[in-house]
Amino acid sequence: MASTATRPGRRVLKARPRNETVVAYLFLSPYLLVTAVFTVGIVAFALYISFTSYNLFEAPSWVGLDNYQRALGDTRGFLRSLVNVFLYVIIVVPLQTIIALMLATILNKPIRAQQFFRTVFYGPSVTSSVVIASIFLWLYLKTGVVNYVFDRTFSLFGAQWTPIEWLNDPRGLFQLIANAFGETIPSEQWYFQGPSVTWMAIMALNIFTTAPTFMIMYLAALQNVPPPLYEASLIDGANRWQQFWNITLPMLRPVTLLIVVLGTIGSFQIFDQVQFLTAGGPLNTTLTPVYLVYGEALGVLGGGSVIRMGLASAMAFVLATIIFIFTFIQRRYIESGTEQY
Amino acid sequence: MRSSTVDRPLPGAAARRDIRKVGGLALRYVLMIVLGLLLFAPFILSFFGSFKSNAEITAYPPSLLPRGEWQVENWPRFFGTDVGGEAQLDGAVSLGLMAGLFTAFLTLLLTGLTSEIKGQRLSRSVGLPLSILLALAGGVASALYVSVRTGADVVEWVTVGASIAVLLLIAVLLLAMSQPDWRRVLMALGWSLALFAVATVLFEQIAMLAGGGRFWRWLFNTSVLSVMKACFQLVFCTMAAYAFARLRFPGRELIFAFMLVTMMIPGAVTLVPAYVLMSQLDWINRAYSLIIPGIVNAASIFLLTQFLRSIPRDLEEAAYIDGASYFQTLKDVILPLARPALLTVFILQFQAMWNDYLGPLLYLQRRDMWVLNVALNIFKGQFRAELNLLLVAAMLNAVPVLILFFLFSRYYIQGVAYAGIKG
Repeated sequence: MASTATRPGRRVLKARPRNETVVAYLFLSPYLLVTAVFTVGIVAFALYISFTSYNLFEAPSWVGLDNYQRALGDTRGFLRSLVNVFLYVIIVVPLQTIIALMLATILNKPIRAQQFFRTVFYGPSVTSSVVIASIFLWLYLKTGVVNYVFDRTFSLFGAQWTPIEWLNDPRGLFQLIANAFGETIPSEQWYFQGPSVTWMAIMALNIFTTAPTFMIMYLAALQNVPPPLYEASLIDGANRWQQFWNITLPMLRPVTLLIVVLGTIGSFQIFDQVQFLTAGGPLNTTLTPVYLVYGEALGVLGGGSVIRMGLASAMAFVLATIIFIFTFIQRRYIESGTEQY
Repeated sequence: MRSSTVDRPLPGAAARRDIRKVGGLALRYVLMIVLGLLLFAPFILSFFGSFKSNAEITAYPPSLLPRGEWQVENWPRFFGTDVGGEAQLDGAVSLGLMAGLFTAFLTLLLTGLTSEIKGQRLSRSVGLPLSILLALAGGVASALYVSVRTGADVVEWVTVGASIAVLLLIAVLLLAMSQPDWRRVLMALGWSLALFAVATVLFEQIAMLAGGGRFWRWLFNTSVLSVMKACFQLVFCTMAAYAFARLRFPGRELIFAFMLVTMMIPGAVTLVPAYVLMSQLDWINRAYSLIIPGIVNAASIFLLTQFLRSIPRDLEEAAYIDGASYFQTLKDVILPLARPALLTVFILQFQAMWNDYLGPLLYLQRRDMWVLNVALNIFKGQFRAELNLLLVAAMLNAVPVLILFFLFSRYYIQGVAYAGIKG
């Protein structure tokens, strides 16, 4: 116990618990004030705007569900962006999860260099999305490094490579596969044409930066798997692959759920690379909901677009609902089976 | 004859197992080196590319190193790039005020506390109103400064003044709860307000000096915004985390759960109304739009709360018994122990602000208020043909964050891994 001997000038002890609540709320006041205005107030305001027609200069006028109907009926625009982002999520999320797991497994050996390589692997994720996009803007040129690498690889096998303009190629994946078989998908059925080459180029660009972040989470989780489990399996005669499949993967289920959910939420809201590299083109094949929200809100969609805040807000809420439903399903599906033994 | 019941491995099998082990290890090393190079390849290529000439950068086939001589002058050429646009006072003043506010806040909290009172006390009934008055005066003074110096709109200087007044008031009330020596508080207030003025003018002048649409100004904007946001969060998130972790009060669980829920709101939903709000407040092209909503962050509070919960209570209890107030305990006992978590929050939030794109794109649209990320857009328009400068710009943007990362990689990785384990 500390000494409570009084020194000259020492103040007297005051009772503590009486003002604990006041002090706590005082400590919380910056958070509460900022959240009240910039989170709660903002979301409520967003909901209100979504039912109005608002161009920032005149007062908002109530239009009811008009914005929602318009958004959900906009085949070329908003619906296209939903299809694009849906394709993005179902391709990118599994890929980045698997790559993250592979990287973590490779790194997960208690050797001295592990720290160094962990840092090196994570390095690229630390820079901003537009920096990576800028660098890839250059790499994806027709005369750029990516085409060069493909060219050399193809010529190794004696084949010919025609340089692709990666950031301006609207041909869809399924369309290309169909073409290889001599078939074609009519352009009215654009939703069957698959992700365009440009869209896939952007996917690759993104996985490049997101996989290392999730690798870190996997690394931490891998190191939390208790060794006795592996030792017991060795006695039972399990090989490396069986150990991985039957021990490691199930033990990683909670963190996999987290990575998949975080990855989904992030992927649905992709914006930076689209705004910086393609502006939704070519032919709306890289259009994303958040880019549309941004464009409608600021009137920068090109081609003399106007500011339509109400429409933008409605689109944002539709996207939020979709994200919520998606992650809810994921949680239900993956979480059944995360009980720890 | 075997003497044990366990089979002994034959010598050949042992040698084969060793070779496999060493082979496996070597394979792993090779794989790691290859992957590391692959992941870093874009940066390596960009670094060398930044020394190439325009023609060479788009030439085919591309080469790793510059073929001719290294065009080192690309870098100074980028420093000297001027895309036009005059530096305007309203933006500069906003940067200055935010820097000044933080300086004032910090000075007040650090120097206003004391555990010993020497000589005669100033009574609370005099000290408290005076301090509140001074805090409000600080807000009014800033409002007047904005209004007079930049001819700003009513809504702008009223809201700015009000925000500053509220924050200073919170600081004063925090001190009031700590049974302080009011003379000391008043002196601290005096010093804080003086430093507020000095810092404001200083940062404002540096901003104006750094110019309009130039790299130096963009670098200044990005640095100030990142440091300020990280610092503000350090102060306010720690306070909130301490309340969640250590104090008992009605509604604690509810507010904490509410905070977790707000973390799941997609950014797209807040985009539109936030922009409307900022334009109504006339905070577009001012630092207020990014800093004021950014003084707290749910993820930082969460991280700090978890960390503070894990600190043993003995030292705090000793401090309470010695008569320290909550705030004093926070400052003198908890903060030194929480250094790793504080450093992690600072680094992660600095990086988040440095790398932020959507926020600055929306709110800092004018060329003299650009951040480095947004400035990269000049390479889609005016400077479309100068890709070597684009690489220089990308390198300049990436290098500070990369350096910070390599110095403090442990904290970065802890922060991310922490979210994975506890999340």
